[in-house]
Amino acid sequence: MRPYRNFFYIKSFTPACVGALLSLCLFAGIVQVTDTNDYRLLHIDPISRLPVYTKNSSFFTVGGCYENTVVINTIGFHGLDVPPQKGDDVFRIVIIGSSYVEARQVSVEDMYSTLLQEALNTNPHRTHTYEVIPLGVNANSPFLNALYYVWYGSRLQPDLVINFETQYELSQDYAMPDIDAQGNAVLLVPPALDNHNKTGFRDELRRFKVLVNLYNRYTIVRGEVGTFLAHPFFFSREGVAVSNTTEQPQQYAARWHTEAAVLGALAARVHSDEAQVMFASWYAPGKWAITAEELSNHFQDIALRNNAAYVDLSPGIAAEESAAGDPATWYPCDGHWTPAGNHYVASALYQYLIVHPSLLSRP
Amino acid sequence: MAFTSIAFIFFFTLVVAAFYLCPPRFRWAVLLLGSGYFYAAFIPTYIFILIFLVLIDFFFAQKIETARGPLRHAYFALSLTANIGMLFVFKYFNFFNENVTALAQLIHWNYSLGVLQLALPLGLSFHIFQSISYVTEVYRGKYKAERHLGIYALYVFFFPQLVAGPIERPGHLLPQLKNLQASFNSARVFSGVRLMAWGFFKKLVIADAIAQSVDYIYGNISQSAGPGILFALVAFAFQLYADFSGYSDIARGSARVLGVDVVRNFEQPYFSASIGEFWRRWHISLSSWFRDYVYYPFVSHARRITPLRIYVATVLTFLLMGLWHGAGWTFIILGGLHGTYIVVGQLTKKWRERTAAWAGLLDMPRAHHALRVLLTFMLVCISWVFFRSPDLNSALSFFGYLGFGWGIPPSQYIDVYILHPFLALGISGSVLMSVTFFIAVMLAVEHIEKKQPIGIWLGERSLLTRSFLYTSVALSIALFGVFGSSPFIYFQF
Repeated sequence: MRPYRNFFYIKSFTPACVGALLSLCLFAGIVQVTDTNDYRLLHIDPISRLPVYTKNSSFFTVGGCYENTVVINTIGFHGLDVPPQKGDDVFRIVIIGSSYVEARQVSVEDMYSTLLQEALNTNPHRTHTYEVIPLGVNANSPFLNALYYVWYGSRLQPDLVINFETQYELSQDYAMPDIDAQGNAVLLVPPALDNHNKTGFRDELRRFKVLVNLYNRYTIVRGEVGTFLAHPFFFSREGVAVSNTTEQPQQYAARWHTEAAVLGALAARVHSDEAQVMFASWYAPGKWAITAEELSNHFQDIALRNNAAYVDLSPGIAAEESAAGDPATWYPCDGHWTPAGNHYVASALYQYLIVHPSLLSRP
Repeated sequence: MAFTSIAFIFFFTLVVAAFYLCPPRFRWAVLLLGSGYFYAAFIPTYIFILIFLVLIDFFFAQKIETARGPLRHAYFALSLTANIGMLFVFKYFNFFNENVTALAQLIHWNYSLGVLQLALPLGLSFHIFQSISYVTEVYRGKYKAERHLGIYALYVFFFPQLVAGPIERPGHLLPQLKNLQASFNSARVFSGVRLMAWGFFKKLVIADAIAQSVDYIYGNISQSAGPGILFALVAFAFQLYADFSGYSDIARGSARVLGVDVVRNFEQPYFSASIGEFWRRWHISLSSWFRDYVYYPFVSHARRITPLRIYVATVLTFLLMGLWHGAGWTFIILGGLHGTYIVVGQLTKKWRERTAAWAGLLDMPRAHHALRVLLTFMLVCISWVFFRSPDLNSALSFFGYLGFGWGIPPSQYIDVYILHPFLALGISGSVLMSVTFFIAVMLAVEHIEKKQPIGIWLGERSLLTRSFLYTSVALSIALFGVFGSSPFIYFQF
């Protein structure tokens, strides 16, 4: 009986697999045509080993409630082109961060970095010509932000470096630094990112949009399962402070420890480049295990310890939104800033900088 | 707990496992506990309203069965008053109060009553109608009052159809709940899971994807042009159908996994050739409820059944059916419109037949039928504007803006509404393309179902074809489904 049963299973298993495979091929084709995103635009820079965009390129991006052509500048980031040489009277502000700095949801003209530059340069009392340069890459962690500064920001000879974060960046596990004996993060590309074969293989897999899409969906489901398992079978959804991450408040303590080490190392590096450093934060929409006040207090504390300025943009942005008659600050489909939101951010940053003129002068 | 949440997947797996591991005589308790948790997961305190309703109807049904004469009528009236009273307080009081206040101001009558700050318990209209159905059947002597409180509670609480129907009848559901003996049958469970997957496909891939565009246009009527408004008019019809029938499929599928058959709520309604036929195929459990408990009694209680009485009964039934959907004038107009459609349809029947004969359509039955289906669909789409609009003014301005913005060159139509529809329709070209394709798939499946049940049709296909189709549905949900967004539309009722 046994050989016959095996034969039966093989006989039914094979067409089932072929059918599934045919379907996968069909959907791979459909997704390849309908998904206009190019997931291979980000490639690994052979020198820094960090993912970067192709310089002077552009790509079309579609979100659930926005679409935009992202224009990549002369240094490989979404934003205005950067002159190769820094002029004598130029005061450079480099903003580092993840998707909120990249601002791929809006055109370069509507990016808050562009708007801030315009505002600073139209100020009649200005003492310099200002260049505001965003160095943002989607889904970065604070550690990766610091690495981008080391590899791409430092060489721009900035006068002020703004490190922008929300609580979202804080929860990223993508790459964690080594901590040295003094408690500072080591700003070197970690081995996980330095694996040539692995990153090359991932780069190749991005050719298949169906795989990228399936992976993205998997991360959404994984997140939802994590959130559910953190508070299984609670009653009313309103009754539970459900976190967008599965983190508990005590787990955030470890993250703040790493955050302080990274920002400490970043501040030291920026100071050694003879520039000033400023931290900026915004409490992103959603329900999180950390409150807006805790986020602000932690950054305030880290800034104080590292001789850095700090601005909590949440009140300023809320005030700007209210003054503008409430056009939405962020897109409901992904929580990133709308063109109106970018205007509020630029305005809030501008207001902070002009009342702290020391930040706009060279140390 | 929404059917499309991760929590439901965990919950359902646990309930199914507990159900089949439990001895059959205690299975009702497993389902009752599970259903109670399912309902409480939305707003815990409202479960007490449901318990109160169960106790009232359970008690009165016993009394109705044993009592004779006027007392029997009194018990029945008391039970109806309790049910309808509950519905009135939670759903209609503020609407009633608002309109009486407006009327009082008009006639300078000093009337004032405060607004009730009560949230509508989820699915209240559904389980109250199910309860009324039970009490009425006992009163009519068609069904014996249930002696087991737990079984009766499960009849009201049964989680697959608790918050958005189908509205079951005691004769169909109660005998099944009293006899939960089914052993685990992989074919039945697979068939149930397949139906659930089809429901997820309709909800996540079609309804929630197209909702982005419908919400965008309905939210920006004054900025939208006629073609965009026309798109929303048609798109909402598919959104509503995919949403509600998707819910019903998940409900029927999950009940089937547990060995319980729940009635079909939809039978290809958009293939109907008349409004009357549409209501025999759309939300069948509700329309048949109104037919049996409102329309028939109203018509049959007359000494002589005249056409006028039938027309009045039709319009009245549809007005009530509209009001069932929500406490607002838009819903009353929705009902009134459908009642009027049917009455006008009856009055013009001979004239229409003569016109069809004159146009030669009777010689082309297929074309004639297709024309009637298209016309019925458009009439339904028009009525759905009152369903979707938040108030009467919005509905009227929707129709008002329909006439604007048509005078653009054809090439611009293609550019603005097909190639780059984001600004005009609120969705990207690729989403528009994919959702149109998936609607076509849904209609193709409906077309097959018109001829034979889809399970039988699939059974006749080769394993390779079935595997291809099942994987395609799964991949459609995984790749094109909109995750973590809107609740089901009918949850609000």
